[in-house]
Amino acid sequence: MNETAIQVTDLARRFGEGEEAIHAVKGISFAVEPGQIFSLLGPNGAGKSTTIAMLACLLRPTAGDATVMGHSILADPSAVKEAIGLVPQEIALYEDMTARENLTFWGKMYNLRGTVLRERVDGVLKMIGLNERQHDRIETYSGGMKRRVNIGVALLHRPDVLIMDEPTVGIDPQSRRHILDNVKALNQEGMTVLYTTHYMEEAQELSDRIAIMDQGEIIASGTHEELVKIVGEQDRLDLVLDGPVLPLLPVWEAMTGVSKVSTAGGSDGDGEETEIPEAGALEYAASLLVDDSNRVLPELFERANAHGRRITSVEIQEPNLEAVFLHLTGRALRD
Amino acid sequence: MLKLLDIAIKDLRRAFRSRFLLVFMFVVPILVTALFALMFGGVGEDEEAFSLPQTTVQVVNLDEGTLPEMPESTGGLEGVDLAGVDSMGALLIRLLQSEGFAELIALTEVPDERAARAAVDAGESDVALIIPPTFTGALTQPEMVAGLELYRDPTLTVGPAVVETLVSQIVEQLAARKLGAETTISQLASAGVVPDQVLVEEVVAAYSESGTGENSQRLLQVESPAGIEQEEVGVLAQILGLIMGGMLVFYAFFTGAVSMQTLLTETEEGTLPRLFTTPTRPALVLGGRVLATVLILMVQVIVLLIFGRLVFAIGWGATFPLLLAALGIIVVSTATGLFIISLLRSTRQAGIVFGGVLTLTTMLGLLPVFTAGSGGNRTVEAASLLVPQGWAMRGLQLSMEGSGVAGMLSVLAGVLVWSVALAAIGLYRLQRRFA
Repeated sequence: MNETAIQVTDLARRFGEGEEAIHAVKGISFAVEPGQIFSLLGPNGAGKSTTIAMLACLLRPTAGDATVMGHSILADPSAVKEAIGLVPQEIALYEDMTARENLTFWGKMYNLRGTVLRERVDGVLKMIGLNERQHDRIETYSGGMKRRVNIGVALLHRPDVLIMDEPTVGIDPQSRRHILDNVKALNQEGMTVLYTTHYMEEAQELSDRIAIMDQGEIIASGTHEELVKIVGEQDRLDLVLDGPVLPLLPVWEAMTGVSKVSTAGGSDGDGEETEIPEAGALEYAASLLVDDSNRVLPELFERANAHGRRITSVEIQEPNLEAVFLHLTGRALRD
Repeated sequence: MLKLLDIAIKDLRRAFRSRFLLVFMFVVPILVTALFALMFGGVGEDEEAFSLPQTTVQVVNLDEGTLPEMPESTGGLEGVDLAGVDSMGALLIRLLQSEGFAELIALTEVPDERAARAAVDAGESDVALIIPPTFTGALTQPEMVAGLELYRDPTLTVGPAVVETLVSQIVEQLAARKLGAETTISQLASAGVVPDQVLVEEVVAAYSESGTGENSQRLLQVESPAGIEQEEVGVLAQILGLIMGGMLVFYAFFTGAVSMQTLLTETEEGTLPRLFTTPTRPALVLGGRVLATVLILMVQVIVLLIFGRLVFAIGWGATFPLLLAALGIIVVSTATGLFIISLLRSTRQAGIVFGGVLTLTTMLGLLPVFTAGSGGNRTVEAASLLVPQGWAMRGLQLSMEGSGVAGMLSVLAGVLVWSVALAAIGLYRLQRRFA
């Protein structure tokens, strides 16, 4: 067995030339051990999908290299493609074909034929829970069901490494749960998983190791526990006011015991996305990193009152990956 | 190689599940042809449904000249009974009464010039044809001239025009013989032979008989290629053949482009990039798409040709030339689709190009079809060959006209050149894009 399933070394990708060039990925390095679930966590535009595209040999890096199961993405892309199963962010299926027809076609593209192919298709249909609807066209499926077939395609050839690019975007909680459970089950069977997400809770639940990406760079990496230690004992406060919060931000930031202040929606802490507020409502909410919430909170109320604002809601959260991201970038994860 | 077939079969399955494509492949071309068939009055029965009206002609033969006795049957005027014809006027009448013109002209001989004109004035006849007393003399004697008179109903256009054309052609042929005789006599004179009256009459008689007598030679012989039977194709079927052939070419190019467009659609939907993450070479992905397009076009062309033959009685030509023409359409449509798609980046661009460039170039290529009734303008034909659609249509037209393979070689070469050039550019660009 290889020592590392994925080894990324100074990988970079630039789009365009000269001053207008966009550096989507800026020379990142990380390693994923066999049998690990490794998450790339970061907001939209952080460079996660570009990194995945390079690892899947869809994009050629402008610098650096990576190996998958010992095969270089530059020197031996065919072997890399044999070794990986990619679950793209968008549903990449033929909508006018049935689930079985889709799986059969994609299986053939992974060089499966005959009885082996039929058995694998049957197995995957059972695993994704769509055996009953295998002869229905994809266009008749719900978003969650499509996502499951999308994942099933990548599992047909039993790859060494499963690469999943934000596989739970835009689906219902039940389908999300189903997918996360499947990822864990596959990992328990020994499959290495590279998982990208901007959902902190998913990264926290699934990952053996996490790399936090922002603006094309890995700004921190380690286990969940190691990352949380970065913010020390700080609490995160999510406050909602009865009016615009912007004038108060510099006031609060100047207070002793407050390290970071940000306007943000963000997570409601139970693993679900915050409901999108009405237009302008975000300006009424703020996230703060504080050393001791019990000591700081009374002063936060006082300062708000002094500026004619009233704090209508307070939520105190234990240190988590959101807090880490806020600590490292000064922005909430979903800014 | 198996993957190439897998990709082609997948694309075929998807194409034949697309209502949009099916409608444009089959329904629209058949509907357009059917509409034209209805406009012309029927489907399949052609001749009775579509024919020029019969023109009634009253002819007055005042010709006083005489000709030597004509044989009953001649080689030059096959099927025309010349027994009893004793003057050029009588010959003209006999020719107009021949079987070939029976559907166009209903001819009645009347003795009185005034009565014939009165019949036209009264609307009882469409045309009165008055043959002057000196008609034979004018066509046989060097120095005599005479004019036919055509008296016609001014409210009619087609019928009198048909009679005028027929009479003019016959008289021109007869006059040409007189010209030949005059030239011969003139040559004899310049060689020092002064022809007496007997010699002049013999020369004139020889020329007069040259088109009608036993010594006549058939100067134009129309034959079909060996082994190919000439199809009897009706007028309506000929018109519908051009229309449906045009539709076939138009929508074949459309199908070729739309079929290749799935490269763009699949790129936008993410299935093409996903294919490139599998251990499948881009060349196979592209090859599968091309193979699928060829197969789709093959089905379309064959179905339309068979449908046209069975329902509209269209004579597409002999089997082998037709196969070559059809193959040309399929190949050049695929190559054009490949070329167009290689220039585009998105399906939005494709909409504009299909609606504009492809439509306009196809219209240019089909110009000879639209102007078929105006006598085959050479400029129009040349213009149509500026685009591949023109070559594809020309091949089909040649097949419909009964041309053999040899007669189609230059057109097939043109189709091949266009196909190779367009496919080479398209493949090069797409290979670079997907590399």
